[in-house]
Amino acid sequence: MRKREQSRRWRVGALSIACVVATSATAIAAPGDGDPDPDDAPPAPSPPADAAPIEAPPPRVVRPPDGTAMALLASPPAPAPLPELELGLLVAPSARMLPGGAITATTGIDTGGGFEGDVRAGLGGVAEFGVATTDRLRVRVCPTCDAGAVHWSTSARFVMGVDDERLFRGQPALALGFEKSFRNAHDARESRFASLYLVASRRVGRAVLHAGGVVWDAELVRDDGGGAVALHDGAFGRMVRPFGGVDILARERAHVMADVSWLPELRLDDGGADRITLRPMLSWGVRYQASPRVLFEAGARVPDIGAADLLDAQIFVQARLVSRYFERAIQRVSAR
Amino acid sequence: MRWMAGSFAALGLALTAPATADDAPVEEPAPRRPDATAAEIFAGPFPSSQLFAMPTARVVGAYQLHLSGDVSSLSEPGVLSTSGLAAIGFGDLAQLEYRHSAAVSAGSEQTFGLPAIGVQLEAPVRPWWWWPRLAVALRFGLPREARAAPGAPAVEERATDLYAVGGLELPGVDVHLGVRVSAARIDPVGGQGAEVARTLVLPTLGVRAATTRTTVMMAEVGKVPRFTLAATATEPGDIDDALFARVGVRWALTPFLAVDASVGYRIEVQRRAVDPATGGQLLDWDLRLGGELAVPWGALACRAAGVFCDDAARPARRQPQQEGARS
Repeated sequence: MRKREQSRRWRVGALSIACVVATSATAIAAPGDGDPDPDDAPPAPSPPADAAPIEAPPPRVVRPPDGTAMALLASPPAPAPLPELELGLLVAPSARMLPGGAITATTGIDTGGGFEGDVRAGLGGVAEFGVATTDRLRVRVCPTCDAGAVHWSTSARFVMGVDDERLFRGQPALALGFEKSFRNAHDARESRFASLYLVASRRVGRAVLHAGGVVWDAELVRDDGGGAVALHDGAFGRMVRPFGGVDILARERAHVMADVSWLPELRLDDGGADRITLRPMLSWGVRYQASPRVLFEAGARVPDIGAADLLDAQIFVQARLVSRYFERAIQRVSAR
Repeated sequence: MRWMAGSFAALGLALTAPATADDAPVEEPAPRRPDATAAEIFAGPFPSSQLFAMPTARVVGAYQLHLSGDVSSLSEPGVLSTSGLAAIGFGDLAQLEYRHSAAVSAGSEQTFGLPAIGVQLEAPVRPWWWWPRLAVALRFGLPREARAAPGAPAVEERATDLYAVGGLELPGVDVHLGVRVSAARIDPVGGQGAEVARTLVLPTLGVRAATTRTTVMMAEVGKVPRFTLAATATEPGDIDDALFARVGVRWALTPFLAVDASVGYRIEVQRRAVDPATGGQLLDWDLRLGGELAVPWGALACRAAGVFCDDAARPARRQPQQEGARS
């Protein structure tokens, strides 16, 4: 069992790192066909929250050798500008969707020794698919023990939604998401979780407000045949929680964010049996757009704000790489 | 769980609302001319003959091959369940297909999905605003060997289907209603165990709604055969039906290549029996990622080797040259 778990961790780790490296390479690489790409522009000031989409650079201009002032276009007309990229909150889900073909890869560490990796792809501007690995899921191996992380908890996520103002004036962006983990072996048990959420996001001036509800489910199965416990064994109300957050464009290319979300906590041998509870997590921090393709995020999170234990807080830093190469390529193919 | 179903329904309506008839593509096949360019050949559109797993009343166009499939991203570690379809069109009225029908194998170590080979015929009636497109299909199930657990007796599962489906095409939304009469069997291998045979009537409903110029939202719900295998040779197996539902999007990257992503209920049900009391839990839902590729093989063969060309198209292209020679 231990060997299998170790092998699986290596596989998951290798997969996550490969995804991040591949996306980094894609993000850094030039488009390759010589066409101007708005993503190659030097870091420009981030547009204000209610700004229009990023403008494409002007076409390259050459002058004929006879010195006439007439300029000739040396390349075809510039492609249409790509839609603005909005990336949501730090931890809690948001209704902001990646444009079709856009890919983001996030990797980060925290002071609790945790690692995070997340790769997402936009599907047609109305859906997102992604895989992630996180150490945020927590386990308490005895009633009086401090909670520790469940390492390499890998999950996949699918979200579909609609933009603002699609149905009626003042309608917020809406998204319905489902996330589900692979089985994770740890502490002589196997655990897995799933969540279904509905979230709304609405821009108010320079801020974007996010609010929603989530239904959690989780299962913990003992390896020794001692039985299984699941969150759905109890009342439905124990599975439902509200969440929300705010994202403020505080300065050029810098966002300040805070959110409250919920995560399952696995309590082993608590009162003679395993238990699963949901605990609230508070996160706050900043996102800085260093370039159109690289963003840095840093902040703090309190894994169990209900316990008001600030000593348990973690400081995290993560890098987010953005590739819009496929988005641009699809746009080119469609234009033809 | 009611609010979840309500959420799906509300989101479906939301996605559907802004769609207009302008989103519907204009049908024209890939030109089968020796001088056709790649852009003309692959310009499409190439209408699909199924939603995620539910066959619709359309058939693949003539001289076209459609390959589609998807994988479960969240089956148990080391196991990926898959489903797929390969369909080749004949005369815009029929398609010959090989598919993995949706099925649930409770307690089996095998992945779900029953192989079948079949033919689907589309009624030669032009759909009108109230008159649906109609099709009927016959699929012969191919046997698939399975065991309830290591050491349990081996059996062969198969399901042969007669499937009828109607599709009403409304502005921006297609509604598909079908019924599958499935003759399902469990046959023991090596003479150990008892045969089980049942005929099931399985309704199915699907909706496809245009959301943007390149994306459609699709949802389908229906019943599929469920095989419960015996753990020992003395116990009988069982065949009944189970609910199956999926909702998601199809994004056309290009006219000939699309990506599917969906959330499905009761797809990942392997290695454990389904407890009816807890069968509807979130943990039994699954995420699937797939795609569909249309290959206009007739147009490609005409372009490459001058075979399967459209004779009606040739004079139209030659006419200007002939006129020039005469003058």
